[in-house]
Amino acid sequence: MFKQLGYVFNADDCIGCKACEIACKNENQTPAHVRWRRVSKLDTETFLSISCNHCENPECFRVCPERAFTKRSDGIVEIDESRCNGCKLCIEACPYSAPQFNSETQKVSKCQMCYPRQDVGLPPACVEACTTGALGTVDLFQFTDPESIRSLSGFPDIKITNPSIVFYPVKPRTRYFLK
Amino acid sequence: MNSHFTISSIAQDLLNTSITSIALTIEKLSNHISLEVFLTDQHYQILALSSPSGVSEFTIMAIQQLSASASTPAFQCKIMTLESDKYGFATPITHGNELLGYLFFIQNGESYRLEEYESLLAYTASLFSIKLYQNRELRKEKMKFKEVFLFDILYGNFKQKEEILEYGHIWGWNFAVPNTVAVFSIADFNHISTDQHIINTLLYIAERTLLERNMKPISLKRQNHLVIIFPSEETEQKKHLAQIEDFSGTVLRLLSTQYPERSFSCGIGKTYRNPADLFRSYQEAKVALDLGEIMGIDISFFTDLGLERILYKHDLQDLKEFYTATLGGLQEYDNTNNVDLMNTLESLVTNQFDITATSKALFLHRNTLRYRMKKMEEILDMKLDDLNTKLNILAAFKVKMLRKL
Repeated sequence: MFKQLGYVFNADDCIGCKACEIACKNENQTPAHVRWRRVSKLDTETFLSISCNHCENPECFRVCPERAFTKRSDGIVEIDESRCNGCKLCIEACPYSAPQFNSETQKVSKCQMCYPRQDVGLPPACVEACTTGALGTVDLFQFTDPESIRSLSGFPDIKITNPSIVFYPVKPRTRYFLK
Repeated sequence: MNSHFTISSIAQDLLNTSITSIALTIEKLSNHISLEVFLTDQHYQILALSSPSGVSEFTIMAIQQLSASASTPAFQCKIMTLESDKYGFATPITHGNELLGYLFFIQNGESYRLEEYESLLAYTASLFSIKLYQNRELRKEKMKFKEVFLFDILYGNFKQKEEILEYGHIWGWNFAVPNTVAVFSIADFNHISTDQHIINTLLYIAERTLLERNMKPISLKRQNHLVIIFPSEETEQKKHLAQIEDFSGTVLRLLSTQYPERSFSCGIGKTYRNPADLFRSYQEAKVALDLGEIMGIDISFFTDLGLERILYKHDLQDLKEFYTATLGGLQEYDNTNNVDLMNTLESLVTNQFDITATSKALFLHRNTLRYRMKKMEEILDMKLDDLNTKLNILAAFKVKMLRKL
């Protein structure tokens, strides 16, 4: 009955094209300075695409004085912007910088895992747009893959918040040179 | 063809009564055979009991199977209770391959043979099997609604207090009193192994412990943990917290006896008067649980995690710098001179800088400890009796423990 939807990110496949970030912006019509999904470079060859991780223990949710956050039975954490008073406590509490402050509306908004799309059976816009298939969604209550890992180097500490994201690490590569 | 198909009057009578209630059927059965009869669940917890001698309740400590029937699953057994040992016959109550409970007939001093009762045991077991299965399915259906309601409370989906109070009344829960959330968890949970079964046992033990304390359990099983909402009957917060600690301690103790190879812990959130704020208590309990696991505390209260909580959330690089600035010199001296002054200082901190207690803990002479303290003061270039120094050292050791430096 209950699910915990989460992202799967394959660091080996991500080429840093930012298609996910643009698709997110396009789908949700967010202003230029509000980035629900962000692609960053971890090192010379590795990229990280990150959004709200719809944590099992969301800190944003705990600290909000207006009780603006809720968690759906599928695990998606959403914010009711009409309740937000713009105090930014959630922004400070979130280790992943997921809640984004909109200086025009003076309210916080964040990724809602495209639940209107998911409710009609479509994948989130970022997942659909990913050019290499590096990004996906799974039900973490059912997901098991011994090759997947809980964190990547460069990803914030996952203890306490327990983010709903799993990773596939970069595989070591062998280079061959012609003599 | 002239044949008569007769059903005995006792079978008909029991069948008619079984439609109404389990307790009445047990009473009827006991009257018919003039023996003490009781029904238990699969964990030998008595569900219904009737006795011609008027025994109203007892606690089963253990069941020892003596001999089994060749044709039915019935067996002769010894029932060890807190008061005395009883002898009787029993049969498992099953539905398909699932065990639902046990039915017992107790001998009243005279010697009876299992063969005399096995057909009656088999017949009544099938009657109870239908009833117990129905009850369980009904409970499952009820649980679905209950789970949705508790999920909505714990994830802040109810914004109005009145809504929660109204829904709570359906299950007989009073959310008008202050409530505290406790979360129990199992370390290294793996959902594809048998760990789900352990969580079910955890739920069973927690609910039973609450019922023993005359409290209606408000519980929700999540993937890898169990949530208990603990209502406060005490006006004093101190007493209420002591009650929760006692309850959590009992549950963890019972679990450890059942699964000695696994480790369990519990986190407890703050108490909230408004049930619409219970989601905060739940999140706090989970934070306390996580930090408690790092610090090796079995039962940790969110309110007790002052400095640790702030330090854990602080930037790691900053914390490392603070640790190196405070204790780096001593660590370096230890490494180059192959001594362990860090351990001495850590013990001093654990014993609140009390020289007598520390020397006892380390099996050292007081003067040796004083000499080491002087040496440490020289290395660190700080006075160990200064309150600010003490605070810095204490914080540095907390950083070391929390961030595994």
